[in-house]
Amino acid sequence: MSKNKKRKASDFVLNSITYLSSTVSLITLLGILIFIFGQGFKLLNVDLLVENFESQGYVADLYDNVRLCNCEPTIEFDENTYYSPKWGVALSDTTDLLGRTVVKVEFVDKDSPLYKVRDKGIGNDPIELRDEYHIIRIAFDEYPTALSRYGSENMINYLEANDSLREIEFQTEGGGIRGSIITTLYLIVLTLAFALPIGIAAAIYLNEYAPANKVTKLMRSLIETLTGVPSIIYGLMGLAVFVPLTVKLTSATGGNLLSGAMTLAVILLPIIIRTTEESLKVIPDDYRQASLALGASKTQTTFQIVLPSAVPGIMTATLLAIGRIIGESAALVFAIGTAIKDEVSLTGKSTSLAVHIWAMMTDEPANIELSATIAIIIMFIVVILNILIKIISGRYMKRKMGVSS
Amino acid sequence: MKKILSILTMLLLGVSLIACGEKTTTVSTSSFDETKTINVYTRDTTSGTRTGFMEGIGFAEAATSDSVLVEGFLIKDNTGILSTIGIDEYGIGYVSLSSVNNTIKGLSFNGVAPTEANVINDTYGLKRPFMWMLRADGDYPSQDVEDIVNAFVAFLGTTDGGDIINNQGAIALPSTTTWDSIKANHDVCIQDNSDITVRFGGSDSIQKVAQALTAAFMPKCGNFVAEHDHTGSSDAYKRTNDPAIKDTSVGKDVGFASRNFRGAELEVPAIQRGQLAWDAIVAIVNLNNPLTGVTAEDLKKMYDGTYTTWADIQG
Repeated sequence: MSKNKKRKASDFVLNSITYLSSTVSLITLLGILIFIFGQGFKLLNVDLLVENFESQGYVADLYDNVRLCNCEPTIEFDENTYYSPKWGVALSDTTDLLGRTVVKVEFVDKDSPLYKVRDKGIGNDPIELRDEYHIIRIAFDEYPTALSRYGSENMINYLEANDSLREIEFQTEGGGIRGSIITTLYLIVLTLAFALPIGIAAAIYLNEYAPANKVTKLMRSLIETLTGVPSIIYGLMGLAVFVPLTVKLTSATGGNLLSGAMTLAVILLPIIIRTTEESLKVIPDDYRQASLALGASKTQTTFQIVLPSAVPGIMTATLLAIGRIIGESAALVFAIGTAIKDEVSLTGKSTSLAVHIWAMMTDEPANIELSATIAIIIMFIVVILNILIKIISGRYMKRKMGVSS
Repeated sequence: MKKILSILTMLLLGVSLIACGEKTTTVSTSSFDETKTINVYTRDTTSGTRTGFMEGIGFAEAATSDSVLVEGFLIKDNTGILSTIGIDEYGIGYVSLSSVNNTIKGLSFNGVAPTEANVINDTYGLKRPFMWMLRADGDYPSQDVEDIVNAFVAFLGTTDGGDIINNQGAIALPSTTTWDSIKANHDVCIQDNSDITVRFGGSDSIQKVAQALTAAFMPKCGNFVAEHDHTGSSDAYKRTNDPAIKDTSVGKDVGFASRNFRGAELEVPAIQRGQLAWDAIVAIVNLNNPLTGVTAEDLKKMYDGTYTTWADIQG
């Protein structure tokens, strides 16, 4: 009886430990999700995804014979939007994607002298003051300048107090991550193009052709060791080998997308080799023997019988690889650099989404909100890829079954 | 058995969530214990903010040396100091006036509150200059770059440039000329410069101001391209005029420093350097700290270790 009790008690303790541990990990993961969504959700919108990072600035003044508007607003505004009847513009205070407080144009009347303004720069065409533009400053003759720092109410008051203005500076929104999204996609395609053929071929050699001796064993354990090497060391290698190599062979002048993709490919090789080899290992030997018995050569057997059966495993390897490409930042800081660019080219600098976060956090002051928003996007891409790979490999398996039956 | 365990787990989950929630709300209600040790935070020795602060409180030797500071001080960057003082009730640190926000308390200095108005009227004493430095004449990648840089420096001295500086929270030098009145002297600005890149670097404290200035000046000067790479005040000289570095890939056309030039930097001809603005430095403490003002003397004694607890300052 007492023995039974004792066992029950120890069972209870052991079971509790497993429950407790899973709860702790669940809470931690939930905590991360809550943090990311709490911080980043409010900045998540389509603008962020399609906007350029650099904002385009304009400087302009009024055309000579324009008349003041003196018009009533044609639309309703909320209480944080201020309207100037004289000039026919409505402004509001808002926070831009980089977390700065800015004055945003909410509405410009068609009869407003600001609807079309004269370019004071080198352009000859009139500039339209569009909704969503941010006004930086409006300078007047013999009157203090209205600065965006003092808010939209102040700017509207200054406008109302004047009948003309000397110059107005405004800019497009900016702060978007379009360039970094494109870079990330480029990196995924390029890296896989480098790493998959080499990785799969190496795995086939190790599993199908390599003799079972000490050299093979050593090779395998070396590849396994490479999995654990910190990525910053690969980054250093990329900086020392691939950057000079690409600079020599292409028009690049420093770190570039190609050198970054090559560095990532090296990081991924061990993962791809291992996963592919695992999936080759589980293919029953009967397949090979049956193929050989039917008169197929070793090469035919490997590439036409064994390899197709390993496709789901290779898909898993690809998924793991893509996850790693999206998440990698330390190596890319060295191999590509941290300059956020809108125009992405293979031989130019630009940032992946993860490095974009790095750049935002090293800014003064660090931009935690936008970083969290990018984190949401990264997680979203990973989830989508996960589902896609599942669907593709599921389809493939079904078709295989269909053919063989 | 399983049911009991799962109920227990749920309870635990709930309790931990409540605990998390409580933590954030109780901070503001706890009382301040003056007998606690002062936790001293500082920037590292390459920082222009540190130089400005230490010189401003009469402790200039601490600008470049850590060994004269109080034992147990902590080095953090600008963001680090802001976020730590927000949490650490017994900490003291310093940041640029433009970084001050409502999560911390800015202390008045020698009885003058840290406001922009007080910096402009020159009553607030704890401030540092923002400086620029250029390459030597004829040492630019092209004549166009040199002309644009000269136009940019002229723009810094106009009311239009001053507006942009003020808009970023720094304090521009007084000026009465407008860009409109001097732009006829800079022919380079009426041509299309969109394929010309000008490289800006130097102090990272000035980065935001410099980026705003170039963003405003680009449309005024033929849409030239501004490339910003800010690494620290010392690089203002090194990357524009140091013969060993200025012609490498990190070379710059304009360098900024958030402190006065010193030593070898002063050998650069005076025409190649100048000041564009003032920036105030503010000593900051946690919101719960009852202290509202300090003197230069207090700050020096806190940073050299004469004062170790908060009660020392009140007394």
